Amino acid sequence: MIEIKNIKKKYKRHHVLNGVDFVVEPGEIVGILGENGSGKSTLLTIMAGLQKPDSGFFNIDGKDLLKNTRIRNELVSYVPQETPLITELTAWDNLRMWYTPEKLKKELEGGFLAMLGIDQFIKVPVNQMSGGMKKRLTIGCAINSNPKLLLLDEPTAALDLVCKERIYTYFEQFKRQGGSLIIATHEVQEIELCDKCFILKEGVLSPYKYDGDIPHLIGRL
Amino acid sequence: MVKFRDYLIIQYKRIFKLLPGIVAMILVVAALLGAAGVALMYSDAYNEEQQRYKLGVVGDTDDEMISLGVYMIGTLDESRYMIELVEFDDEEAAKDAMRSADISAYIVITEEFSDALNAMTNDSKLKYYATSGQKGISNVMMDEIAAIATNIIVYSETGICTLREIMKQEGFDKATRHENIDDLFMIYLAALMIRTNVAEITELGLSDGLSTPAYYFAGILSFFMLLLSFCAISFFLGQKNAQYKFMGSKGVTARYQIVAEYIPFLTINVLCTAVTLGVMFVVMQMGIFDIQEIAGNTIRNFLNFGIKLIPVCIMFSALGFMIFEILIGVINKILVAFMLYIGMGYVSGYFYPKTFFPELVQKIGESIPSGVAFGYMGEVLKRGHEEKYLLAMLGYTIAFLIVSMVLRHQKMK
Repeated sequence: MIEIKNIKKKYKRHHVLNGVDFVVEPGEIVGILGENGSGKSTLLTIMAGLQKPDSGFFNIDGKDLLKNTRIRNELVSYVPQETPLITELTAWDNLRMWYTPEKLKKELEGGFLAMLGIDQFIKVPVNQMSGGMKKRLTIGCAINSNPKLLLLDEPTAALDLVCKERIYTYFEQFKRQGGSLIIATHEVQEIELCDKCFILKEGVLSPYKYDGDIPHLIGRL
Repeated sequence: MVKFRDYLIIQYKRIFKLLPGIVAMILVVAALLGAAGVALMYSDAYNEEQQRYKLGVVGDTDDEMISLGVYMIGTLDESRYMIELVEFDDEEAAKDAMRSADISAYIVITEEFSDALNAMTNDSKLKYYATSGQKGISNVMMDEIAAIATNIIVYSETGICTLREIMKQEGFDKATRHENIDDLFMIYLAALMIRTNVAEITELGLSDGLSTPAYYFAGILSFFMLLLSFCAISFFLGQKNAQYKFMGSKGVTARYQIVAEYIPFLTINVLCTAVTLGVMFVVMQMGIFDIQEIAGNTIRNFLNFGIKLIPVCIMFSALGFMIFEILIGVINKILVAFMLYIGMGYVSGYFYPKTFFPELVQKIGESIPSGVAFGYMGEVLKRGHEEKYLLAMLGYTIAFLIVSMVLRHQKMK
């Protein structure tokens, strides 16, 4: 079980996160909704270990991940909103950084990387890839350590429907294998994919049940 | 640490992919700087050490004393090796000659001056004209020459004339007067002929005893090395905060990221410097230019010199790295870096002898990284004491890398 307790973060006098609490069960997809600048990305970067919270806990199966960097790197993977890939190099070169040659070949021949369709553009330089290819490759790089928790910051923003569908299929697969996902999103399709959603507003996280009523959702944000 | 090694390898792959572009930029910069260097070395500024200065003389030189003085400067005095006197009938002709750089300056001997000289008074001075603008070696020399002319023509000869008049007034006969005055002239001539070191020049703006070619060689080479990081700017353009964050989330911290990116960047800079030095060596072997400080221009001496440049490469690479880490946006990176490098090079005396700057500017120019590198290169060429410069460069390198790490850490948040 993944527990986030009383996470607080303040920039100067502005409380971005003011005591955030939630729990994610294995195989669950959690959506974090909120306006731009509401603190969604800050929450994810804290969980990814890129920022330290002013206070709070982040545990997976009782292990304190805010203090134990090595375990966090194994259990948690983070996919930022923009492309984190090395654009001059090919998909293979980018993946090689995170996988051994043997594991990479295996994953490309029928593993997660094949499921993401990366095998089809493995020799293509990143700067010649479409947005969808880049996003799939980024996810491919992120899941090298078979993480228990995948943090995704607006993963399908500006992608075409086919590409989105492919990524959602992968999310379902990841979920079926017991992995959990936390997605910061504005996309209705992604919200529909989530098992539970929260709205982050003024530093406070509140549960939200999406029922297809977009005007109501907008009113809550 | 496994991820550090992998990240290092990937950065090496990246920079080698970008190498054609980097090399193309380096070739352009090297060609431009090489052309500038050759132009500089074959210009008047360089040849000033070998050539004689042409000094125009305008006015009535028929006067016995003046013609003697002009004759002595032009033929007897040691200064004849440095000065060539060119007589002009009128001032306009002298002005035209100066404007067309046929002469460096001219002296006008007015009638009042001649009269004053014969009247044994010092109330009329020679008029000395030189071009305005930057005060270069020519002007320093011409000032000195004007002083010599004044001393020789005015003070010495006025003294002799005065003595002749006093002897006349005191009733000495003509033969005695002529005998004594001739003796005095002979002593005066002898004194002139044994005179050496017309001007005592402690520093002609070419710092700390380097020859002119070595000074400009060090300046241009330092500037080239400074620009190397600019040539590899493409290495910094593909990097994004998302990449840093992603690496950070995978355990590649800001510290490891900076080191793993800096090492390939430094490698390319060192390689490019080595290749450039190789080309320079070939050019020197062809006799296009010669640096006496690299004795014999042997490959061994050149190799030693090249190895000693590595600390400069290390510091300039760290400086470039920090600048590109600070600046955001392609245009910013290109413009600001280029302006900064030109400014640093100028203040540190890469293009123009820094001794002509105000003292405070000189001190700043010597203390900033470009100045430290230049000072170090001068010491290397002179085989002097390099230690304090090495320490300063080490300090700067560490500081630049630490600043880069702090900035990267901030970007990852």
